[in-house]
Amino acid sequence: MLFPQVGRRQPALRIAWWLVVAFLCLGITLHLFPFYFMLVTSFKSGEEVLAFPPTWWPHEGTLAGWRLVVSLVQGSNSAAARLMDGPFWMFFLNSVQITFWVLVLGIPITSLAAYANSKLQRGPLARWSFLFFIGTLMMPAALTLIPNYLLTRNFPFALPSVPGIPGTDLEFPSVRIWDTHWAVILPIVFQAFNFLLFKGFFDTIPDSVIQAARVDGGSEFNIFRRIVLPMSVPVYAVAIWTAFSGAWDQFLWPLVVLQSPEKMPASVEIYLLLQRFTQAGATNADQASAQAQQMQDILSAGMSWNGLMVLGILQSLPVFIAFIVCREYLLRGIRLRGLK
Amino acid sequence: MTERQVVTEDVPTADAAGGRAPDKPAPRLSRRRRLEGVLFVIPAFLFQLSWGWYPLVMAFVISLTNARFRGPVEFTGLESYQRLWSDPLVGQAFKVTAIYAALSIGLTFMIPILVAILLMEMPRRHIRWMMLLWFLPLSGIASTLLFRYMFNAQYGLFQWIATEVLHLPPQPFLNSSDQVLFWLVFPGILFFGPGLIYMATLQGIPASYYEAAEIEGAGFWRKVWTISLPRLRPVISMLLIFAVIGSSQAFEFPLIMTGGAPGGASRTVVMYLYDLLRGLRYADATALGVYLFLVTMALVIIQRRFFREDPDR
Amino acid sequence: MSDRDTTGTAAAGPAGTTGATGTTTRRRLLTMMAGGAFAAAGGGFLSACSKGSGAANITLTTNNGWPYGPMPNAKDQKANPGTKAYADVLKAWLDENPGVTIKNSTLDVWNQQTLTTALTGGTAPSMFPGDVIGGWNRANVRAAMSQGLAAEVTEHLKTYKVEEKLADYVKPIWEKWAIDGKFYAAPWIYNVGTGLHYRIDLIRELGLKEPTPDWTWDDVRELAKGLSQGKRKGIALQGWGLNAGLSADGMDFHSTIPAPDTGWNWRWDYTSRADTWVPLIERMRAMIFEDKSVLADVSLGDGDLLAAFFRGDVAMHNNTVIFFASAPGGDNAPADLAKKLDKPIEEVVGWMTQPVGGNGRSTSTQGQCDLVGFSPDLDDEQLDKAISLLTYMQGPGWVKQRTATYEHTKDPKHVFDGANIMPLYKDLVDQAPSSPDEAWGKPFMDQVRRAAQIPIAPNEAFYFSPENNTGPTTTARDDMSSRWANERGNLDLRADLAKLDQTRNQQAKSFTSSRSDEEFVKSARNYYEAHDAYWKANAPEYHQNVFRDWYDNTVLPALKG
Repeated sequence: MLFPQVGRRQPALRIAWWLVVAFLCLGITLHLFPFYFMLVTSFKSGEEVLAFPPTWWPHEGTLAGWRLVVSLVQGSNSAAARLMDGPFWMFFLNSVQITFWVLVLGIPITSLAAYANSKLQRGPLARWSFLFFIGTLMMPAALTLIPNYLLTRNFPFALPSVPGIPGTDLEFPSVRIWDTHWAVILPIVFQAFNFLLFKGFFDTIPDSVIQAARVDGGSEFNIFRRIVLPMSVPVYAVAIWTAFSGAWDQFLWPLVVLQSPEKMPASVEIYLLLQRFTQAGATNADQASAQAQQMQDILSAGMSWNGLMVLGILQSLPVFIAFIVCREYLLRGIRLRGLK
Repeated sequence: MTERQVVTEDVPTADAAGGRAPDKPAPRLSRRRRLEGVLFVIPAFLFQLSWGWYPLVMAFVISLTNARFRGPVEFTGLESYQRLWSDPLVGQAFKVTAIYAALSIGLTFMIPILVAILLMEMPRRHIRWMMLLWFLPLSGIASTLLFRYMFNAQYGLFQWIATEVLHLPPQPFLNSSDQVLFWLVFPGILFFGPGLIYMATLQGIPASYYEAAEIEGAGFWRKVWTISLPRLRPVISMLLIFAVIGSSQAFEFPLIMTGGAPGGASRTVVMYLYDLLRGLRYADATALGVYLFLVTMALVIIQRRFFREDPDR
Repeated sequence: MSDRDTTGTAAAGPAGTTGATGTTTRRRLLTMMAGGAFAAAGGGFLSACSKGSGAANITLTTNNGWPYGPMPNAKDQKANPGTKAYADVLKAWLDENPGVTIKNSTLDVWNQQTLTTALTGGTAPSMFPGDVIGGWNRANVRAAMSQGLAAEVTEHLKTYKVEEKLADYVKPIWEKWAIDGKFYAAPWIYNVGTGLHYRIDLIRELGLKEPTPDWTWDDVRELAKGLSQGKRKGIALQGWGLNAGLSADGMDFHSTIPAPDTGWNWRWDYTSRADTWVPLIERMRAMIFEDKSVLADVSLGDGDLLAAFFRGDVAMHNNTVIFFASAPGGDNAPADLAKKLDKPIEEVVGWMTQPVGGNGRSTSTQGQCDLVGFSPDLDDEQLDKAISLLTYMQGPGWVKQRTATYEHTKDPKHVFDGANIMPLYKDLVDQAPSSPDEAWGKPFMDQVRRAAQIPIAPNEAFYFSPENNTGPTTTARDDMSSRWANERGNLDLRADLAKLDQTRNQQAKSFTSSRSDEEFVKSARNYYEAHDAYWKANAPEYHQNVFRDWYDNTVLPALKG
């Protein structure tokens, strides 16, 4: 589109075009390299992953890393049991479940609000509700950790205990969602980033299109469903993709609000393994010695960078799939609009 | 609404190329439609209120107390805020965060825009796979794993590139206060997430705009400048807000990679906040969060003043 | 640590299944209902607490098998003899304590933030690593204890005669943990502290001088230089390891000065003795940047360190004694290294206490007793059972499990692995088969026993009442460590020290101590008097040449007021 349609055969243009192609291909190569390196590392032996210079191809290819992880996935042998609380597939299913609900609840709720903010609210109301919806983005998550956690304990009270109703022995009604998947799902149902994304997109839809539909009658919801939604397939694809990766990868929050091992998502288990392997937290000698055994467990089970890479690949697979699916819809949406 | 129009009316937009008349001011909505609008917002409003603002307000309230975990809680007023104001490390952490944010936005923000624009030039049948490969993501936890491995000064891949490929002396990478922030930002150059969003927006630009521009004799850069970028503007503006917010809250990646070393040269505000939490200084940590909130808020407001949103308006 | 590798095995596998099917407790039911009820938008029902579920059914939650996991299932017991041994011992205890269930939970208990959050809301496991609540800083741990982050267990400890059972080397360390005569934790494991692990075979091969108990950091430098050959570095030092050369001379001890007339009661002065400190820092930097005999890196963790040592990339590393006694079977333990080289372990790896500082000053290797904390939400009965379990596992259970391990492996290295070389309770080693000497060689155990005899230096945390107000963090000091260790080029060290003073004093200005000046002065007097006595007895030369002068001219005048 940017290159002229006519006169493409001019040498200068052709050189420029091929330069662009070369640039893009170089970028692709650089970008794919870490993936390649990850894959190759997963087939190396525990000793080879620490070799310098690093090898480009596993010299003594071994499935040790994969075998260890397969045993983790099945939760079969005791070396695996020492590293994880249960079979890895169980955690994986938990991740799927959590992510599913985040998407099913979050995408409609967020997009409807963004649509209303973009097209139905006017003036100061629109500005203030915009700030209301994105303002929390600017607060580091570490801060609201404790109030949020208390909230999962005694919803709707972010207090250590439920207050009593004055004058009676009763407590206010409250609900405890702590140690259920809902404690992980509900706080990220509304995602401010996706709100921004939808808002940005809905803003680009000319008001005249919606105005025309209003003249034809029909409720706002119908306008949204019949006119806006079909136009918005690409942005939905992108939003689903960001919501997916956010929900899939989170680990600090689930660690706080989930306790039962059988409810943990996979990201948490991988994070805990990485922590134990690198001992990033050991800042003094006392701590190092107390955690020594934790680390010895992981090392003697044969876990090294190769096994961690396998776990990384497993954790990334759904991300790849989600990405490919979303990209597909992104392209399909374009066909629907009949542009280009 | 009207105020915005006054501001934007004299700004040349893509409408000229598109040949579409600017919208008339929208008529006031009927009561039923406004009611529907309220219904659209209510679920999100409730979620944002209960899981967004309510905990935030609670955190703010806590910052005004001595924030004991158990035992009597006393109201201390602005003591935490004053304390942080006089703490030299707070200033340092803000400085580091500012540099980190600037580096990260400067080095990584433009690349996906450029790539998305260029990718659209490829033949249609190639766009699919090239887009896939350019923007192929990695799970966050996996990339942390990978880069921790590759940055190892002893057996890491980067060291190999420095010594064996470029024949440099062994590089300090994360061990030097001058370089550490650059290397922390570096992985972001390879793994840029939001490319898809630009692609989605670019796909939405009617081809007729470009054709019309070509007939008028516009060249490559002129088309980029007058059609692609203005169309991308709302998205760029939005992602810039997000980049500012995201980089001002950089925490996990630097924490796992360096823990703030050397000499605090990579300790961001949120990392210092985490340090305070570890010292059981919960009120101080919250107060630091409020400071960060104010600074980011100011940046976002400034940024929104510069970027008026809609090319159609 | 006694049974940790086997308990770990036991804990993880079956947890999911036993936890899920075995006990549908009231809490479970409530949480499930709560999940459902949320959909009905807060249908009013009261969130009852699940505390005190009655004598018939006491649940103790532990974490990833720490300190002890739930009963392993039959399949795992069959697959792993270590698991079987643990199951048998646990069964013996459960038979005597009917109605107790041990349940597994997942929480990053090693992360201070997640643990304190869980403690605040009453969701922490019944037992947790006690030192984590204060981030391994003893003063902070005590402050957290007195704030109520851990349950008081004084009476329960008495019931099970814990103090009487402790070995002689543990007792003096453990006693110090009392706050006004009350205990808020139980002892968990003991180790003699940190020291330098070195490749004895390489030292002999190169004809270098072997470490002796009175070696200094100059000797280490010499040795590291000598051991550096080709790709091999002499020594690997992680963050705190690099600092060891400075703390041997007491840099932070001498620079932290009581100041009762300030709000925080302490001030910092690194500059007035800069002449002493600068050469020490320069020596450390020279090892890294001139001799190039040190492997150091901002992200260097213990895992990297062990791997480098095993592969022969480094010939020494500074670390906890526990790593010497890691059970073989992986490819990181010193025992595996010895096996690879086909030599007995005492001819391959050695361990020596931390080098002494100038004038014979040394407190760097100090015995350490890690803690088990108990959730403040436990009731009396739960606490009783928790401590009963702990004392059983550390006493008779320990012997049984060690014996079973020996019968299966016939390898003393598996019996006396990790902290098991020095069990917590006295007279246990003799009851177990084989001996630590047989496992790890006499030279190593001689050093360990010698280290256990090193008198414990007075620790500030134990002389002052717990500080109830929060205070400055050590971030500024840690920054300097990482700066000195990593930053290349010429640093103005004196300026760094001055900046350190300035930052720390500036930070301290905004804090007030919860201790009254009077109380502070009194405690400080006791504390420094204890130091005076300690150094007089243990390092007379240092006492004479350095300490006395500092004590008389800096400390005492400050405390007069």
